[in-house]
Amino acid sequence: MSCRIVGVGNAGGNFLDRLLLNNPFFSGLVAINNDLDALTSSVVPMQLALPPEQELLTALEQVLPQFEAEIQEASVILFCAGLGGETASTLLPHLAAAAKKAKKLTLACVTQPFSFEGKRALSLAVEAISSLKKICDGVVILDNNRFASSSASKAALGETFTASDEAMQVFLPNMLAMLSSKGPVRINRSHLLKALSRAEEKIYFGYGQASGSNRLHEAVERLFKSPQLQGGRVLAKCSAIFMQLRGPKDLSFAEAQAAMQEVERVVGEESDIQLSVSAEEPAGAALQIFILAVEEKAEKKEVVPNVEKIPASVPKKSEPSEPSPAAPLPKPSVKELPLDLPELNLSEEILEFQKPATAKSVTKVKQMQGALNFTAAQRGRFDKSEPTIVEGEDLDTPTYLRLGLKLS
Amino acid sequence: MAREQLFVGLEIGTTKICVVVSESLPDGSIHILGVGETPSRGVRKGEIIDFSSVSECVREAIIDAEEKSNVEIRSVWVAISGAHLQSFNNRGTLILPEDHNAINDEDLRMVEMNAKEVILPPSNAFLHTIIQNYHVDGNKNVINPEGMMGSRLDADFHIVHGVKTRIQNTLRCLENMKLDVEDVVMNSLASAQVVLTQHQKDLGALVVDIGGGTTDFIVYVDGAVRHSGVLALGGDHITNDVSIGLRLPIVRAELLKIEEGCALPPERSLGGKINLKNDPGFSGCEIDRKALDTVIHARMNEILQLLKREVERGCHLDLLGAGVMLTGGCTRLKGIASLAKEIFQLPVQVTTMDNLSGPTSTFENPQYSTAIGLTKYANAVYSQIPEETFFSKITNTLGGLFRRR
Repeated sequence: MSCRIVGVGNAGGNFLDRLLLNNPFFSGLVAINNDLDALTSSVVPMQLALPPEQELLTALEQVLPQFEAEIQEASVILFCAGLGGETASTLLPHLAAAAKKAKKLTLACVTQPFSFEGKRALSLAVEAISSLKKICDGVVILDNNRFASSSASKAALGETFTASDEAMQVFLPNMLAMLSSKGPVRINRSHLLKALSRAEEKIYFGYGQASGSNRLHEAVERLFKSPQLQGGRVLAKCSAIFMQLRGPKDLSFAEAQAAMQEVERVVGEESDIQLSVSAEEPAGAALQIFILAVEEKAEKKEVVPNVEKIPASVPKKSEPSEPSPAAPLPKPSVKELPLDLPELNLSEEILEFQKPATAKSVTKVKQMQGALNFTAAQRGRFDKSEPTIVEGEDLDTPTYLRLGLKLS
Repeated sequence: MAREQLFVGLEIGTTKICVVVSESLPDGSIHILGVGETPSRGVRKGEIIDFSSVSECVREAIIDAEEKSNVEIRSVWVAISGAHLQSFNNRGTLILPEDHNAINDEDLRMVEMNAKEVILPPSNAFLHTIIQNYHVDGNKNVINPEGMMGSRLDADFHIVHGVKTRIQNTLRCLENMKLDVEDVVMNSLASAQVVLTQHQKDLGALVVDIGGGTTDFIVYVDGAVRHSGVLALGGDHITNDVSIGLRLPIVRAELLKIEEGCALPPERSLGGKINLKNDPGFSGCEIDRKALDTVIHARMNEILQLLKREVERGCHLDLLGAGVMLTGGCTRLKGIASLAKEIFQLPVQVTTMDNLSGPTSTFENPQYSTAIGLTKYANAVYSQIPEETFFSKITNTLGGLFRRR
């Protein structure tokens, strides 16, 4: 599977430069910019320069054939940019549309501007994100303000930008590796793409790596400390989770199993976790865990009674009981009835409607019960200490529990 | 008694912080002058996790020891533990020039340097380089090659290393109290000084120090250290298991373990109920003894099985003619020697400390073996080094201590 990573604007070009400097063998990078100075200093070999004197969209029209030719052989186009500036915010949706039109899988990873960059920058970014969501198969948004809030208050500005850059450095190669995974256990690519295309709201990612005897648990710990995962809490509300475990040849089955268990502890019960395992890294390389989590937009189903279709057995009470003042009930509208609503379901809903009215009885939002974390109880006083892992087993958990011994 | 012949051993353990002040007697034995002790706070699995709490506890233990021994403590020998400590055996080789007269002290230092030319993880530092054997021109098992003629000198060393910053944390804690640190010694190495005789070391022996947070071990074969290591498992894990399994507060679980705990399999349990009395914040209850024994046996069996596997990586158990010596606070658990005997299939004994005098309650208690061992270690180092060059030569001659006699 061939991929192209397209960096748009100054920030996009910077991301690619850093990516290339960290891994000189990375290929398929394309930088697009109207800042010729920035392009000149860039190390990205494939550069598309927009004439700076022209309007952005006019200039884009000139390089668009060249761009289309460049992406022709690729099946996945991954855009990266820092939104908020004119160049990226204007060009990115058009470039994405061109890629989509060429029937490429189109993904975008963009950063939202810092709050100090002003309202205009934010509105440009919001507008661009809104367009990208309509066009792309998946959009990952890195909010720079989150990096700013997680940095020390006196941290240098450069440090905060670096944190944002590093997040992008993590996402780009790992996303590509996930899409082209070749290990013994792979993620079903169609599932991944389907989840990305379903995602109307948010896509999160996290990354952790570690070496040494306790590498798995250290990597998982770092993974949960990723800025987007908020200690793993956001995973609880994600419906689809894609996890990629990469390491050298000594990556063990027990480690893969333990990684899955660690993640299962924090995700919701209904979450679908898919794992990809690859042990093709060079000897001595660190164990790496990358997670991409998709939060689907909760669907709000307005359920209102259909008075005309009420079965005879059900008392005809079109007027609901008085709603409680704490939860005022919207007046049901017969006109808003969905015509294809199954009759049985409808009567059930009506019965519910006759109960003392609450918001719950009218608006049925998919509820997810948070998973109760048993880990703390199992490890007791060692909950916050470095785990003792031997052959993938956490020996701080009581032995009798791990052996399944019954205490009379 | 000269002031310099007083030694202070400090063990910062997971359960307790212990300071032993002793003086060396002319016959080479140790007389304990006093022991300072305080419950430990801020230590988990043998490693410092709360610097200020540990500093406070050490201060209390030092003051306690000063009061009991009537000695002002200025310098200490410190024991160190933790799962970060690792060991391996390595050989150093030195080709001697043709016109070389005889192997000298400088050659011994060079061969040791060669043995240490290994790549450690960047965060690690050497803790001990302990000589096992010298070989001169293929003549194996030379005890002391100094003065011998030869063209090639090989030396086998047992090297212990650990994470630099974790070792430094211990040292910084003492620096803040204006205490000089004479040396840092691995727990099991210190314990072995008091629980093993030279004869046992020659026969081959395994010393297991089961403490609150860690199980430290050291293996002697043919009088030299063959293998050593630390498992981050100890008595605290038993307490934790009991607390979770029997739904008891940690403090009550610890008490129950000490008073009623037994490491033997539940099939050999006495059975019946154990009545726990009311305490403030704890309404009494009855505990099934068999359940308690199940929890404790499962954990103890696991620790010893892991230990056996770990020891077997370094040497064959058949080489341990003197068997297994158990020490550390956790060895007060009933049935532990029988369980260890079943697992190792070797003679096992809960050790006593010989060649000591002073309060018997001190040296009969296996909890103090590390701290007392430190003072014995210090005494042995001190006795081998001329007084005027003590500080300059101390690190270079440590290895001589563990040589076969």
